Amino acid sequence: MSLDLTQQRLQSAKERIDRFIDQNIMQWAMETVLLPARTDLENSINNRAAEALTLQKSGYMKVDLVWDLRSEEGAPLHFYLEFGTGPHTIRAKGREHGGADALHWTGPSGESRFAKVVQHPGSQKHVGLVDGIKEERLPALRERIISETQNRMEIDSI
Amino acid sequence: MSSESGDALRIPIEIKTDDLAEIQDLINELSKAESDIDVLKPRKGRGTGDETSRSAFVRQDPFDERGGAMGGQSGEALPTQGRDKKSRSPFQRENEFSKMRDEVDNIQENQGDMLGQLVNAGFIGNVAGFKGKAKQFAATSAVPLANMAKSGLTGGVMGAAGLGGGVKGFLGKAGIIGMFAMVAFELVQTAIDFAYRPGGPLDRRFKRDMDKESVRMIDLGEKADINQGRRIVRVTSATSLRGTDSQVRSSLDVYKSGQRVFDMDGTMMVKNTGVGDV
Repeated sequence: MSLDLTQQRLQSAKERIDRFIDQNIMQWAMETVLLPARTDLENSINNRAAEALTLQKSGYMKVDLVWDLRSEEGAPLHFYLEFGTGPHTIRAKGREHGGADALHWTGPSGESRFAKVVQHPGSQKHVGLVDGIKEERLPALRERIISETQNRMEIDSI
Repeated sequence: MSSESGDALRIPIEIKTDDLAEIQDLINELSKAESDIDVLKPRKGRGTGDETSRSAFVRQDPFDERGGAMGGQSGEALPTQGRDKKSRSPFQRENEFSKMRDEVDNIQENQGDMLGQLVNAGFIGNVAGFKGKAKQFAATSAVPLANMAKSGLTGGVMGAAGLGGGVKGFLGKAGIIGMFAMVAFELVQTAIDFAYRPGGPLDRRFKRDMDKESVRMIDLGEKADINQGRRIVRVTSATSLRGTDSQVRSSLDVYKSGQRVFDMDGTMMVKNTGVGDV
């Protein structure tokens, strides 16, 4: 290999590194971010909330963690969970609106409770849930990118 | 930072190699290697590259340490001893002036030796002794020449060295005879050289005898016709083998090509044989 060719390969090394990362970032993010995040969501909320978290390629070397958790009526539950809620009133829909006449939930001791109207105190528990997952899992993604890139450069002889 | 586009929660994850220290170090090393290549690459023009490098670009004698089947046979096709390394010519040209000067010096040295031999043999001395005017001239000349003439009067140098009178007289007569013999020899040699000189009457070099050349038999008009293609020179007796203005064929050419020339009836074939294709 001539020196000119080597120099050209070195000059294009950064572009080739970026392209390599861009081509593989979805897989790496899925393995290091999405799957652990789903496990966390499943443990902390439920399976439906975990499956609502997905990955989307949004640009060059960019991916988005997308969380789209909705109620049966289409309410954006992911916003309520992510950003929390203030105190609010919950009313039963009533049969005339396709719902039940009373609300039902399980109390702390396991007994069933019914009511037509409740005053919810608001939820602050899950504020910054997905954002926190990102901050927690991003170092693992970085390490994965570095190791994969170095391996690729060694295999490709730069 | 989250966003709410499309009613879905989007958490962007963007990777920049500038933020990855290890990747950035790797890129920096690559850039450094790239700049090192600039040093390794041979410069254009008269400059030399990195002399401390073991790269093949700067190696002066790549075959000095060559082993294998050709090991030890590192001699160059051209001699390097007399080679002018500053010159583009593979050989150092001889200086023609120096060469001619050496020849002149050599001739003068030989002539000096011949003159010394003649003096030793007493020829010149006898000439001086034979001619009275020469004796007088020798007596008034410089001291060495006078001494030489004087010794010649008494029978040459050998006579001056104390040889006997009989031997001295014999050598004196022999010197005179030898002198005339040498003069005669020189005259004959000069005459022979004159006769054999280039253009001389006995010049042995190749000379064209126009009387013996057939070209003289061809008229200039015929030559012009041949050269201009208006006339064809037939080089074989076969009627179909003809020369053209661009090619001259003979039966030998056809045979050499390995083609069949004659058919079953013994008739010379013309088609596809290139014969007689005028």
